[in-house]
Amino acid sequence: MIVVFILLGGLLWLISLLLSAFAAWAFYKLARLLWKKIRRALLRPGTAQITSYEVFTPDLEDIHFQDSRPQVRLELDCERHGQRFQISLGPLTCEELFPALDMPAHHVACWLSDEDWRQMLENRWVTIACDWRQRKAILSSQIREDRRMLLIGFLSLSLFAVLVTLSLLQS
Amino acid sequence: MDSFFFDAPLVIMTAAITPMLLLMWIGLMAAFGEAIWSDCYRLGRPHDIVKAAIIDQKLVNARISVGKTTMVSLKYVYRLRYEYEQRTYEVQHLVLDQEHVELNEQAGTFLLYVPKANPADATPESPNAASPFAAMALMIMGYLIWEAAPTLLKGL
Repeated sequence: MIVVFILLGGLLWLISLLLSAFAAWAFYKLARLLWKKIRRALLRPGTAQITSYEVFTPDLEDIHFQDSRPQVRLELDCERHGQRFQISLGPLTCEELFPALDMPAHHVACWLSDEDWRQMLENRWVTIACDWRQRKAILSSQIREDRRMLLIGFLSLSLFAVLVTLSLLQS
Repeated sequence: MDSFFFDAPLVIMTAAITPMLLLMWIGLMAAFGEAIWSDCYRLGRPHDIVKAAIIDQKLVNARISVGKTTMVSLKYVYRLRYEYEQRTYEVQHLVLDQEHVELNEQAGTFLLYVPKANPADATPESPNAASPFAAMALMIMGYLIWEAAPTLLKGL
């Protein structure tokens, strides 16, 4: 009897420890994601010129690509504090790229002819944010998306807190 | 003995899982609220519904991911031309679901929502909006929080 009791208790302890480890891991991931988003949202946008571009269509058979619409790699010429440097960006999907070019992004199909791509991308200026220490850049449309997400998160958390406090006060 | 083997693990389990459940709940409510907000923004913004002519259409075979879902199938891509304030625009549009767009195959027209501020950024006019259901779900979830919060917090 006592053996069964201890076994059950031990099992319960094991499950609870596993669960708390899992929760800690999830919170660590969440915090890292949040920190990355906040850092990205604080980057200052600048402009850069496209020096070259490459369009490629992922193979439909290749399961590593979630989306087999054509994607674009960009080489950019960035300028910051009088310093010029090259940055490569991508692969970008059209939904990320088109807002930066002031084009409609809603369910664009992206199968354009070479001529269309050339007209659209050659020597164009795009607004990007350069993180020049890390040699990375992101499009300002992605930063806008991040800011929107952060705003939504903040608003919903504060509304939740207000709702809980009001219900406590009322009861 | 009893409290060490049964009560302590249960307390640890609840402590570990409660913040995640709360975050899930809040995230779901935030998603509903965002849907309502974007619908209201779309309706409140100065815009016009413009009839666009289909100038080209083709079928593509592709894997397309929208949000979290990925689908592999044959989809139509339409090339549309529309006029707005004496200017002609051309857009390409991928139709994922025929039910979600106002498409008239016989007349060869496609209804587009064109915002006045940026006529080049046209999106298809969709016949059905999700926001009434989202509003209902949001109200129910908010009411559940309102009811559950005092009892849960005072019970502890």
